[in-house]
Amino acid sequence: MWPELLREQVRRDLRGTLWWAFGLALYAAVTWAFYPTIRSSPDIAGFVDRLPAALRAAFGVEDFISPGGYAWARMFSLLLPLTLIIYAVRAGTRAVAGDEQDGRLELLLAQPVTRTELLLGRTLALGANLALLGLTVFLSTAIGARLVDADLPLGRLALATLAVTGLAWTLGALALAVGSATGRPGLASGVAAGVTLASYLDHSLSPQVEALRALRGVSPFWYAIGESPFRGTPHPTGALVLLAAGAVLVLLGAPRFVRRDLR
Amino acid sequence: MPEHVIVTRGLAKLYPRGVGLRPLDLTVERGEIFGFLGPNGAGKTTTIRTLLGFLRPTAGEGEVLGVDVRTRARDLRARVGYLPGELHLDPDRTGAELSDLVGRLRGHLDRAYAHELAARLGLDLTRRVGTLSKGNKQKVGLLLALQGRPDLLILDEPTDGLDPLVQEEVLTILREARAEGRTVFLSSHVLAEVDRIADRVGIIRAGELVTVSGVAEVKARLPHRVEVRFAQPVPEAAFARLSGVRDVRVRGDTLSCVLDGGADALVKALAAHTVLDLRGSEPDLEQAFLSYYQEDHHVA
Repeated sequence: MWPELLREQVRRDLRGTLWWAFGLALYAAVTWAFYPTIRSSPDIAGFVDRLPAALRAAFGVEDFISPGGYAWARMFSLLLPLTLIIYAVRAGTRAVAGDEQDGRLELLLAQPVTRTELLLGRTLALGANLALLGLTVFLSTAIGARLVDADLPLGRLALATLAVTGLAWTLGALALAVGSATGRPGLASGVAAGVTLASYLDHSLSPQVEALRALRGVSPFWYAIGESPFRGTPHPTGALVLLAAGAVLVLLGAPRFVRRDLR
Repeated sequence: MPEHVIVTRGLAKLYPRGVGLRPLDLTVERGEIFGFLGPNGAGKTTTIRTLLGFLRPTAGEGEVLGVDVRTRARDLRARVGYLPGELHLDPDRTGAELSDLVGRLRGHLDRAYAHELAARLGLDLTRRVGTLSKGNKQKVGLLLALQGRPDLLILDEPTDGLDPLVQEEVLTILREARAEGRTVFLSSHVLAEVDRIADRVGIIRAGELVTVSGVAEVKARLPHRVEVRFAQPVPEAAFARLSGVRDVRVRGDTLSCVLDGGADALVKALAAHTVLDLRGSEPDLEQAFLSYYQEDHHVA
């Protein structure tokens, strides 16, 4: 029965998800529309050069001018992953705990549907929606760059997209797991938001703070945007770690969801 | 198919704070309409949600259609139609879409029957649920519970928010289900409704099943008000201390009192006077519960 639940959930979220996709595509389009201005502006290149090296590293503006550097600085290093995380945490919270609080799970679970099937359907729906947004980011960025004659390597773009989508997936899955284990939507989104902020701080401060460097292996940001996939040797392992981490989180929450009282 | 559709032995759902359901012993037979009666907050919904596996019982055993409620067996739910007491439907969907969804989840979709039910309830299936009134939403919920012709219908306040004509139609549909050998377990806080349809009734109060019996028996046992008009004014003292009678008021030639127990003493006392008229009102469940609580209060 879970394919039916997956279909139902994706269909229910579709309108909202398409608006997010539209917004992301617009963001990519506007970003690339300004690329020619940046590329041909000596002022900006000079400005970047004058920044302290540590600041450049922290904000990912080391290379502001090349297509890959521009995509990294303007989109993939911060704003895009944060936007995707907001979507994922919202959707993950709603998937079980939010619907449960609204009283919408009861009618489904009164049908011949097990809680495991419901959880599977909702988790796959979160994955499918994020995949749709990831695809939108990839396509709109690739097309946007092409339109302004920026030579953005598609393989690296695909990896960058996979990494930030995987990051959102992990944190969305965290919200889903906490929500399904407890039935508390406020707790689910609160924990996910807290973990997002803490792990972003860890990630962004660890280049400067020695004590945090040892911890960066637990920050999902490290795996997604630890280093720019547009430079150096690309490492696909980080993205795979994130995809697996999300699945593990949901699995950890599942036994509680299967046993507990519905609220 | 088992003859006992619902069997519970000491089934309880106790919360750390406040009572949900005290140990419950209950048997519902196949082909009967069982009314589960009690004021709001008495534990009706807790009982139903425990039977359906939404809540884990804290003690005792429960079987629905021969299946242990703790197993939450999936196949069991294919044979049970459920109307939640607080119905929340996706506002973006039409009645027809929800009906199809439930049909697909149950692996059995009889659109013709669903449409017939909708017509009988006066429900427009093409409208989005968000645009429907409370009563019409309730009809959608009823349709979803009824459309699969389940062996057991568990309905939490089924006629809540419906206008009287539709209420009557719902009761007719439930009687038809009974005629087909199916079982109905419905909760209500309105005695008149249960009175019209149920074979047996269980009364629950403060999480505890007070009594299970035939409806007529329950009604006879419930206190109800009696008014007697005499040919001449009567002294109040003649009736004030009768057994089975309380709340005695005399205004001129009219006696008004609450009969709670046997009527024998009252009838014999009345015989001493010329009685012009005698009328008794239907027992009011709310009043009955009030008196139950008052008794508790006296004991405390």
